[in-house]
Amino acid sequence: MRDLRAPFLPALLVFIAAVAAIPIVSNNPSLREELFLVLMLVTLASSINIIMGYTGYVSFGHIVFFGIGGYIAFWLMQTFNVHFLLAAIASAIPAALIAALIGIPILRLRGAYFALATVGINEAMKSFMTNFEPFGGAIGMFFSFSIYLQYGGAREAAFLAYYTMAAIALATVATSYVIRRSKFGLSLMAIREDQDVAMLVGIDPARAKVMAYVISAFFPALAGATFFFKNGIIEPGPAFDLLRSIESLVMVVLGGIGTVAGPIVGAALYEWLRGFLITNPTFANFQLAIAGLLLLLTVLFVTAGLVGSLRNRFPRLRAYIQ
Amino acid sequence: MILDVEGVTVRFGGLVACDAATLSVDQGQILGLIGPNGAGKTTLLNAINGVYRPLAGRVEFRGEDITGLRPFQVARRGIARAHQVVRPLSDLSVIANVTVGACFGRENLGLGAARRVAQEVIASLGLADKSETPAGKLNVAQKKRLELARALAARPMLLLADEVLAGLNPQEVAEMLTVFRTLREQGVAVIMIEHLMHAVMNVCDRVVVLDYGKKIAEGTPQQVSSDPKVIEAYLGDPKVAAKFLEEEGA
Repeated sequence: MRDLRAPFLPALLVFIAAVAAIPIVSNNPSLREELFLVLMLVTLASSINIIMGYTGYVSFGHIVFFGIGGYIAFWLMQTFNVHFLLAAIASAIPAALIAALIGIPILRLRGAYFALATVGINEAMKSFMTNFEPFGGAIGMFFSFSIYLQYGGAREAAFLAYYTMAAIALATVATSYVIRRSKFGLSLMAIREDQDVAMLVGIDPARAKVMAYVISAFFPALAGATFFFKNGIIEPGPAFDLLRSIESLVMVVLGGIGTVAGPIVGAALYEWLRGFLITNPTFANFQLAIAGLLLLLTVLFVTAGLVGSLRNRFPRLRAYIQ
Repeated sequence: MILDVEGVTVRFGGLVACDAATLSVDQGQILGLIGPNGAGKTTLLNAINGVYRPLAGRVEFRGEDITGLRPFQVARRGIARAHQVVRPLSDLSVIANVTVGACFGRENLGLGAARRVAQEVIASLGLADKSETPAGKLNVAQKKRLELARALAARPMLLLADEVLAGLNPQEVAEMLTVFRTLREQGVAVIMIEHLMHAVMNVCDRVVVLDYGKKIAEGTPQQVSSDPKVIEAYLGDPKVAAKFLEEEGA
């Protein structure tokens, strides 16, 4: 929306790619595992930001799409020996379709009712998978080791998963940026501010919201497929983990709701903090309590989050940080 | 006629808010819609642009039946709305608010073109220096102008203005009236709900008076203001009203 366009997106993508390349260059597997998780959280938080930050619909149970993507891809790989990349894409498309089907009714709800509905859907999906025998029921599914052979062994598969996750994170961030700067994004923000006014100026809110929800479901499904491919085992609990969903919301709020960079900053900061707390003997048992405290402090005192308050404090930065 | 409203009836439970209301407005014409509080003026506007679906009757815009279309479909056909209670998109800047108006209305402009239109409209309404301010931080008069700017940015063929003058000082009212006259010169049709009688007398070509959802009078501002039925609707019994007026004159 500004004439003077700072090269924000290229700079951001180069930065993420450069960070993602560190463990490859330095050949550091433990750092790679850590960054894999951070990139996944960046994907989840940035996706949630599209529906929550831009559109104003708090999708509490957004992890459901992560689980759906994971399950479908896992099933395809295990049962039909489909290549991982193909399975990931083949799982994200039905996940997006499911988002459209769920979204049409529940996006009519506003505020807390929508948030609760998304929690309900996640829990329902978890129960369904727990009882759905073709997907392994309560036990879930696991790979036999030979599955990784077609990728050149488990080590190579882990690298493939890492590269894929980095690519997904980059694609999510780029999409988030493009939406924010587009006419579509403007319509989402108008809906967030006042849906009735949006409708009166010529926006079809139902359509725009469902589109936003579908986009925000697509990337978590890809991330789920990748995560469980690397994991080698999928169970209903970890696939539809409400806690992870809530943590991604915390990241968005912490970093700056409705900004492109906010969820990235939030994800990195939260994961760093968690790593610090969990290894610290004093705090190890309190790490979630501290996360909650952090959310409380952010909501009370830094409503706009880190990136948001930075933008508010220094209006000149608005051209450079989105 | 650019807009024909025929026998539109809107009911809320047992309350008939609009009772077979009929009116029409032509290009370059400003129609005043007046009546006591609760007469159904805002409801009628809501029935025109699709917020309420009328129980009976017909709304025709440029020869097309638009009865029962959704608000965004009506907006895309060239009808814009400025609200009585201002509804800025608070967290968005003034320019973004007005760009929203230009983007999704009749012309369906791209973001760049919409922004240029928005800048023009903002400048013409004297909000240029506030362009990057979040809309929520404007004062009431500025919010009123923003509300009108958002509606005008859509370059509507018909503007539904719901008490856009309320709460403005005389200087600001005069400025707004200039805006309305300019619109008339551009051939835009306007329906304005207004309680500010001198403004109605000043700019309206015709006036329709509603009371209890029914049209009780129609004509030039002068005709309407001397109509005993209108005086009764506002002041009660015309004889008593006349007495009051006499006393005031004396």
